[in-house]
Amino acid sequence: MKAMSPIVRTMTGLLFAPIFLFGAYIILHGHLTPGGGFQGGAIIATGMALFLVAFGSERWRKKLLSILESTGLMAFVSIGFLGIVGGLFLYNFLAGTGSPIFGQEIAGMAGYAHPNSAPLLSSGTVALLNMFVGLEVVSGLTLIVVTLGLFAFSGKEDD
Amino acid sequence: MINNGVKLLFLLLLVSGLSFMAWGIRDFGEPDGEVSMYDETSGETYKVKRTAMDDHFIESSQSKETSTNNAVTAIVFDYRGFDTLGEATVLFAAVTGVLVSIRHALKSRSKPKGGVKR
Amino acid sequence: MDWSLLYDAIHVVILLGIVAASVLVVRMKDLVSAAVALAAASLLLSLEFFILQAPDVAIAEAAVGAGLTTAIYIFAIKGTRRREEY
Repeated sequence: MKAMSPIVRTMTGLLFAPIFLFGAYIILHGHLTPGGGFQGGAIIATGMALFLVAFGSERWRKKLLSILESTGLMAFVSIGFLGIVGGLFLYNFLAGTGSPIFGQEIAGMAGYAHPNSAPLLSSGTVALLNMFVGLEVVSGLTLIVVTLGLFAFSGKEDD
Repeated sequence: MINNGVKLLFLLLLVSGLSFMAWGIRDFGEPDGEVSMYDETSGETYKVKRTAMDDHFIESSQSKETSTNNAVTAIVFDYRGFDTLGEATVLFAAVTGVLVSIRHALKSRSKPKGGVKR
Repeated sequence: MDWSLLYDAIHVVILLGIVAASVLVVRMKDLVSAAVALAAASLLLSLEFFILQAPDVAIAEAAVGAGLTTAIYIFAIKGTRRREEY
């Protein structure tokens, strides 16, 4: 797979970091603003597809991507099993407990005084599940796009 | 191979379990009472049937039960977390299918040129 | 001032754009152009989702429909023929 022109490569180098940052923002603020793990992961995977098309790189670490994807799904299931501590599968056992890991409560919610402000470290397991679903979606969609792209462009070099 | 009797037994078990679950399902929506809503444009009030589950989600997703500010994410990742697990499994299965069907062909196609290091 | 007429007009414009882009997807003989028209239809659909106050679905539709699906279609077209013959 050939690399594209220097204009495209320069613009990709400029745009890749903002796309990655925006996707990470969508994932990490999934419990506060619209979005979540799947949406942010799809955004980062779009940036990866842009990188693949512009630079034509064939040296992707597919084994690492597979391991990351499996890690995301297994961490999701593990957090689900940890919820059995509270009585149910996928029970939100961290929310509102005051623990430093996403355990803060939302202040002023009794009379809906501040319906649109909340601390970043709230929401218990929801933020953790967002992160792991984001990890899985990033690596999974990147793996699909990279594999199909290298397969489509590997046979013929001339056109 | 598994013989047909075991297959038939498994199928009957599956059908009986699924029909038992379908028999015990609750009515769709399950109206629990009426709430009067106010329409801003026409200025008249009308009655809306709301369910107990809707009220529970709206009232307690932002409070101590999940303490998630985004109620949609609270439903997707907490109340309906099992659905999200299924969605993640579907994506995993898709990636596995792509890799299994493409990887062998990719390896055999890019080998004769010899310029690809992986 | 009553803004509902403006909202209706925006809805009608976006929905007509979706219909026009979808007709182009079916009618075009150049498959890369058809894939780009499909991306345009998907982007307009995500705009419609955003106007209907579903930003979650809008983000997912814009990223998957307009980005990744187009890339996969173009890879598939690159692996086969570009022109559709009839």
